[in-house]
Amino acid sequence: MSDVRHTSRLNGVSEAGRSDAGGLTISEKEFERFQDFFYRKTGIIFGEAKRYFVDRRLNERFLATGHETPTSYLQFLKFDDTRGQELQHLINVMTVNETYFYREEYQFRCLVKSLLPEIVAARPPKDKRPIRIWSLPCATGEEPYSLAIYMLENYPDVDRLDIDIVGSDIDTQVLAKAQAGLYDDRSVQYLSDAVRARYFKTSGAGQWQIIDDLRSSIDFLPVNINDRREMRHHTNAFDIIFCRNLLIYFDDLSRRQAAEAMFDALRPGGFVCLGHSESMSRISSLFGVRKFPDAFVYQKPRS
Amino acid sequence: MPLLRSPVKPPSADREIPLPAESGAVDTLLQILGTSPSAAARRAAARELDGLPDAARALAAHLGHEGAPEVREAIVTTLIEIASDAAVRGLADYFGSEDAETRNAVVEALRQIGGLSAPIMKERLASSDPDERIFAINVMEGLDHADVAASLRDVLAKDPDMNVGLAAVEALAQIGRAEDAAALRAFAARFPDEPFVGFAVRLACERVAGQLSS
Ligand SMILES: C[S@@+](CC[C@H](N)C(=O)[O-])C[C@H]1O[C@@H](n2cnc3c(N)ncnc32)[C@H](O)[C@@H]1O
Repeated sequence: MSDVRHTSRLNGVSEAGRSDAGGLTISEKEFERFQDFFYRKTGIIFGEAKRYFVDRRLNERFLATGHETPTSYLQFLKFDDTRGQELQHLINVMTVNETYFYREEYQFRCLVKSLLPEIVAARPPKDKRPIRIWSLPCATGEEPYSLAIYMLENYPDVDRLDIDIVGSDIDTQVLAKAQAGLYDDRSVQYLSDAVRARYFKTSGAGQWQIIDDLRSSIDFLPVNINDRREMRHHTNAFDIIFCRNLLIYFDDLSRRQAAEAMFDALRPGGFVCLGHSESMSRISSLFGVRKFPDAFVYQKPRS
Repeated sequence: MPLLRSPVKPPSADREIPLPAESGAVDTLLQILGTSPSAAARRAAARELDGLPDAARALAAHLGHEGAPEVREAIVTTLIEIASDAAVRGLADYFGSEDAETRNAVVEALRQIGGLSAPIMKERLASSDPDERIFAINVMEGLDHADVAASLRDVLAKDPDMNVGLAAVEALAQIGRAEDAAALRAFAARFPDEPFVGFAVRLACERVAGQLSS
């Protein structure tokens, strides 16, 4: 990946020392070096507005790893973290994992009313592969479970089709939570009582756990959308990708790379659903835009 | 449960496509790109070349012959990732392309490459083809690079072609600062009989007036 193409203009942070928050002060240069490194690994760009958030999270990692200066921590990440364990910790604290059940529900409506019927109709009868849907990124799992629940509730054909849902994220900690399927009231607030009763068991006040049958029907696996080696394993593998509220953390180049990666992961005629108001750089040269009654969706050409 | 659970098994990768780490990969990949009848194989080859800067010139050269849009897109992305002098020059060579979509793609790519494009765009300002000079200015408009404003002011002072100058006016309206106003007005003075020049310059001056130098 190429280097970061933004410059941040920050004021008031200078030589290493203790900051007001009690942690190490991170200089502008150190921040830029860190941002550059992190961008190359993840495609995520922070920008000035996130500076406080980043500094706090970095300080957690300095403390946890016993590094006394930002520079020594960065050196460690670059040269001594050969198995990438610290990088994974860092990714886990730096990502923003906000999500909830039935977020942007109109896209699920589009899925059952338009996308699935079209995919089913376009398949040759001899094609017996399951229809595969990828929630990338899935964060703590609300999105892939919502997909399953919405289809079970609203898509009668679900019973005669093989549908395979996979949830992936760069953050391994959220994936563990997704697998556990344990949620609080806030997360399930947009679900009806009936839906809650059918697909959750309560485990203590304000605790909702996805029933085992549903939990075991979804695969969770870590994936970095901007890692070509990882994405190569998913070539031509999905009919639909839900990629919502991820591209907002990327710059133009990582968006472009994500678009390339999704194109390759989709089967011909496959669809990408982005979050509302998200767009992909140069999307129009790779994908067609389809306007369905409920949503705009991008489609990989059929031939 | 009606939803099927099938263990995720990676579909077997396209074995014709060598990984970049394999020796001789550049030649093999370029050969696939140049000769394979399968667009999917050509696209995969173009994407795999991203770790191989030596391929930049040949990749760029292929762009003009490539018929499949998804392969052209992969070539451009890979050139942005390579982001070398050769990649920038190879892309800029399409300023003269007959195809508007290719030209637009190339301008956007050069902007995404960023600062590294700046010196080469500056060279292109000396081209004898005014269109090529205009595209170079379009790229510069998207670059956050210190030298760019100075080059644009130079265009305003010296470029004989009015349309090239107007492109520079438009670019400065986007990225210029208050101190560029003098150069803008001097450009308007070079073309006193062209009402549109006066209009564009007035607009640009208003835009830059609030932009204090950093
Ligand atoms: C705000 S959540 C979106 C969750 C869900 N799609 C939704 O819309 O509610 C963004 C997620 O993107 C993940 N993420 C960030 N960079 C990523 C990358 N390069 N590859 C895969 N996931 C990434 C983060 O870990 C985080 O969980």
